[in-house]
Amino acid sequence: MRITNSMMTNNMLENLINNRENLDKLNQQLSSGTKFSKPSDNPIGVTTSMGFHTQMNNYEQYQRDVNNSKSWLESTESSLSDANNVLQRTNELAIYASNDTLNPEDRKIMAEEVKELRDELISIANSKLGDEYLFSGQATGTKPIEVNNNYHTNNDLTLVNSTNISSVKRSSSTTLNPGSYTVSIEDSGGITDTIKISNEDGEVVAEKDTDSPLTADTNYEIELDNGEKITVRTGTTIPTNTDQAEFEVPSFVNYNGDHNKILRKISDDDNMQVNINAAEVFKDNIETINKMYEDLKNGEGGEKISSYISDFEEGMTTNTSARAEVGAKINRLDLVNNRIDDNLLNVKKLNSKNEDIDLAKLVTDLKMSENVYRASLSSAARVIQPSLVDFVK
Amino acid sequence: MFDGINIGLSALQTQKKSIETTGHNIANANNEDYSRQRAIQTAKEPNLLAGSNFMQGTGVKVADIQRIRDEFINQQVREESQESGYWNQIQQGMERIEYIFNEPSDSGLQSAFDKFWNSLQDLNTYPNDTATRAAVKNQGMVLSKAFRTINEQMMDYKRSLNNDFGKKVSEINSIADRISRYNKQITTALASNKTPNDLLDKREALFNDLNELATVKGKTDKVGNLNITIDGKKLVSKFDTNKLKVEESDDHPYADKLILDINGNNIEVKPETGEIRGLMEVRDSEIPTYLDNLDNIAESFAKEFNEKHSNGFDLNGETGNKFFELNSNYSRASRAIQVHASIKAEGGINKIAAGNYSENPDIAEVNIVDTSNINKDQYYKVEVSKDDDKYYYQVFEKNGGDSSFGSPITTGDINIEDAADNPIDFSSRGFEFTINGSGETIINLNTNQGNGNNAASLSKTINQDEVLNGTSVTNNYRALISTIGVNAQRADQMKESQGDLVRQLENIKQSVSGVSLDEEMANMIKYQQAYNAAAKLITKNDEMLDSLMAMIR
Repeated sequence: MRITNSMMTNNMLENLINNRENLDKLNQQLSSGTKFSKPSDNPIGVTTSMGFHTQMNNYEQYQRDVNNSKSWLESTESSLSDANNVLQRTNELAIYASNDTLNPEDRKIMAEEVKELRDELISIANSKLGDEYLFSGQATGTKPIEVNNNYHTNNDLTLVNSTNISSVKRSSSTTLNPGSYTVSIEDSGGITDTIKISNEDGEVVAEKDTDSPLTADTNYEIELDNGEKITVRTGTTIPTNTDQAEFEVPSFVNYNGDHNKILRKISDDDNMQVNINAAEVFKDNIETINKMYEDLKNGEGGEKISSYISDFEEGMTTNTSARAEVGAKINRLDLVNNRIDDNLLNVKKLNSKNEDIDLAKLVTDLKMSENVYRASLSSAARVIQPSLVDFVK
Repeated sequence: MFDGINIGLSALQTQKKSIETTGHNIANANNEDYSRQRAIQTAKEPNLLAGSNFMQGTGVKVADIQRIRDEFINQQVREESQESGYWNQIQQGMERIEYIFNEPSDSGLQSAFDKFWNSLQDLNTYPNDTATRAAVKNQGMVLSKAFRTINEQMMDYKRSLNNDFGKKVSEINSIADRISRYNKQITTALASNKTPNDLLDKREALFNDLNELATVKGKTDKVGNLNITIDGKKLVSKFDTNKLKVEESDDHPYADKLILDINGNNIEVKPETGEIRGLMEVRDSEIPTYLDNLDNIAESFAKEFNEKHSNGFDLNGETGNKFFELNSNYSRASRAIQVHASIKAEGGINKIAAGNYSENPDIAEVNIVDTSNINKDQYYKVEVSKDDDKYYYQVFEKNGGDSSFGSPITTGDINIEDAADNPIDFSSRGFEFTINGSGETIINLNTNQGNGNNAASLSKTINQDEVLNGTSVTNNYRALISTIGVNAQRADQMKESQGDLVRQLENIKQSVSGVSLDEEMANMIKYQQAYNAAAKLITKNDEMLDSLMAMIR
């Protein structure tokens, strides 16, 4: 082939440009630390890397989410544990107060402590994490346990849908369990009439057979199993079979939250309930402690107080199993966290393999490219110069 | 006797002419368009020697000054440079498109999707937290801005390509014009038997430039005109040219058509290759394809997200809110997508629907039909199983305070394909529910602020739900990036290899037509020596004449 001067210059230039491009590519990789900076450098590599980055981002988010759920559960756990201490102490006091040797003064002093314990349990039930109530279901902005203001004063129970029944009075606030009740008259037509009090399930909780037919505007005392008395006053006309009235026995505290589960996403396909509501774990205990407090305050005897011991034991069992459940969830979250850590590490490794440069190899390549570039420069300098012009004088 | 001097003279003239040609070659050694020339020396007509049968030589003359070239190679260079021009444009376009999409990076669309997902996960954890809600709104705006930025930059690029298109068209016109003027000069010279070598070189250089721009075919007629056709239609015919012009497309913005005006008749021209074709391809095919793809992603994502969002309830317990909207001023969804005005408004973050009546709306989603029948303390458990084509469901109920659900209150089945359009009626309890999948979920109709069920479901629209082409939104986007990458890679390779091919052919062309200084110097010495010898011949003849004259004296 006939080689001309401009051919040699052009070829030389072309090679120099190629070598420089190569050098630039390697330099870019070295300074960015990654094998590719745009999709065309390696389309599969780039999209794989995008996938890995999304995965890493997601795992890091799940780590945060799991930690948030964990701190929610840990707060729940510590509240439950505090509640258990309260229950244990009340249980001790109940056992102690069952002893009939205590005088009424001692019981009143004890009542004060029980009252404090009751209030303490209410404030535990109303614990918050940040701005959120822990024990009110999804109604996290609503105080779960609120004391019913009517409770103390109202032994004269409010009647609804009353037919010829004037009033129903209870002797103390611990007489009937909270709920709605119906009082009804059974007029036999003979000498003995019956007054019945039944709960919302239709079970008769108390009844009284009279010695003579019922008369209007008369108080009738009905004794309950525990010896307490309820006074029913008949209406202005002579009672008949159709006479009845509904009434509500207020509870000491109301649960204002809901029964929804707070579910937290802990992985793409899994979620976990993190909450327990106060109706499940606190309300009954508060009611019991309150009853005990009222009984102690009213100077009730040991037998009455001792009936609460089994309630407290049951309360503690519920509490313990709730704590076990919470503990198990915390453990599971730890496992989830470990798994996320492992997955994150794996993805990071894969991603690094996919996109990170091999420094040793790259530096070697770069050095080699540099040498080639130098060589091409010096050969260019040598080859371009001479021609016959230099020798013809 | 004087013959010798005449021979010497012819030799002097011829060698001088040859040296001048050599000088012309040397002068043009670095002129890319130049074909080296050679003075063709030939013996002059011999004389019949009087009274003999011999012919005697009368010296030398320059018969022709020839351009040394290989028309076949030149034609190949032209053809391949059409292809090379095409791939250059495609490569430039793809590189720009890659920069516009800006992946992989921390500021591309993928990263915006990731951050939006993060904010939704946080919303699942803190459904009523103001800062978290504000973050969801802001990340939603960042995401729609990311779509919009890509769209706007693509349209800007398309517009600038359309401008370039106009410029290239005027370039073609200008070249065609100049070729037609060279045609005139060359045919005139040829008619008077002159060899217009340098004019031919210049015309050829213009023709080569034209080949890079578009597919053209050239043919030289008998009298030396180079007639050129583009897409089979006459562009240059002898001394006349037909003008190319651009015409706005009615169908698409910034997609001007190429029109050839032949005596007032407008004919659309579609070059098969060349720069102008490459440019049209990027402008009319690559950019719209990727934008269509992006539009599909934006539209189906916004639709799916809004469906789920409107099904959930906001902080005020209201349902039916939309999170995204498509601005009706724009036809492309990637430009039109934006966070809904009601969410962007003052206090709008309270309208973000983090809550859902159903614990898992991906199994059953609730629609309230009669608020007067709703009992907020009631809980319903829906169990759904499925076989090939049917969902089987059971519904249980309990009051909030109860510890467990009793026996089912309703059981039934429904064809999977009908499930979406046929909600299960529970209007006696104030609602109906649509089955979306199998599993177990609990429905409750209170709307408390701690409910983050919908946020968990919303976050699935990004990476999990099969929204488009049977896969997730982000998978679709990654497939788009992969397509762009593969196309850009191919364009890189084609540009490279086509460039190499053209360079090799150019080398061969140079090898034939290029000026070698060594060779020219050697020729110069050769002609110089011949010149010296011829001068000596004249001197010797002069001496011989002197001797003859001396005899007379």
